[in-house]
Amino acid sequence: MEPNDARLRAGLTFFGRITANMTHEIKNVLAVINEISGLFSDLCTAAERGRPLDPAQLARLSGKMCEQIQRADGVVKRLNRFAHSVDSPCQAVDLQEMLELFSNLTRRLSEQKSVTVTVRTSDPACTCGTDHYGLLLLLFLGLEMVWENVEKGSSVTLFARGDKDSATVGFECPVLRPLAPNPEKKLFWDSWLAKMNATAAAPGKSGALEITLPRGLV
Amino acid sequence: MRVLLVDDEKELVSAMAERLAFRGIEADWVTDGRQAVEKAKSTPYDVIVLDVKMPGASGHAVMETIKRFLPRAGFVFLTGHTSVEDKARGEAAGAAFYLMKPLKIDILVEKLKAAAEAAKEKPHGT
Repeated sequence: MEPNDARLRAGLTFFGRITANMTHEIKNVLAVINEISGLFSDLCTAAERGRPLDPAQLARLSGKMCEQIQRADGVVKRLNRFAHSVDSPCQAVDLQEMLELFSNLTRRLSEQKSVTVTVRTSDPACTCGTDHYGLLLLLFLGLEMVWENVEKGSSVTLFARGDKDSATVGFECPVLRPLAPNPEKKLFWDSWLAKMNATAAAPGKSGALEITLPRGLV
Repeated sequence: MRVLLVDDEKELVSAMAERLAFRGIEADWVTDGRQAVEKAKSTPYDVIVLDVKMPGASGHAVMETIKRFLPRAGFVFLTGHTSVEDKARGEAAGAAFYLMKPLKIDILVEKLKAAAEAAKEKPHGT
């Protein structure tokens, strides 16, 4: 596969994975609302047959319904922000916000791998002029390697830091085995690092995977 | 009929269990595969309803584990999205039904009864 083809395929695969994951979560919210509204209906039917309604139970169910609506709103907002990450090939990206978005977009996928991902607040805030979508994609390719190379049950911390010329984002893990991506994943990773003018480092002893890229014009 | 509901969406399984109780079906619920295996070791469920994708272990893996000590239980999968491959894999492994969320409770009840009937007809040791 040529590097351009690899980049395109990696880009589309990432868009597909995230969209599928987010729509899966929306489906789950709809399923919960379906059951709670059905339970309301069952309670009404039981009341018609003489069973008294319990106001506290109704209030509790109503509260759960509101929680699910808030949850769905959050999922849709994140999906919308993700969709807009392709608006421009170079935009000012607040790395802290980007890490929060990335963490929320991939939380469920990490949970399925029994890995917990948290975001460390960067101080001071760091902004980078870069391809927002490309950076999210590089992080995802990195996360896939982290999933494969940490123990189940691990907690992984996402971080960002910057200096005058460069910005670094990455993962801190308790133990990270040496990365050995399959040939296709390696091609995806190398071609996107090159496209983003970025470098990666995963010194085995430190338990970290870092991606460093130019700060760009912001 | 005794049913175990397994899904990491706690609000989904708790409401579903209450709705099944209104229909005369006793349903317990848990939110991960490990708890499901523990519950199934102590209770001879007729049917076990599993989410396909859960943290830790997949629904398919949980079914394989439970089948070892509860060979006559019926299995129903619940999923948000399914592919032809997923459905074929689940059915080949012995799941009676593959149902899409959200679903109508009457359809779930109908499929639970059918899965329990089919499970009763299983020969011992399969």
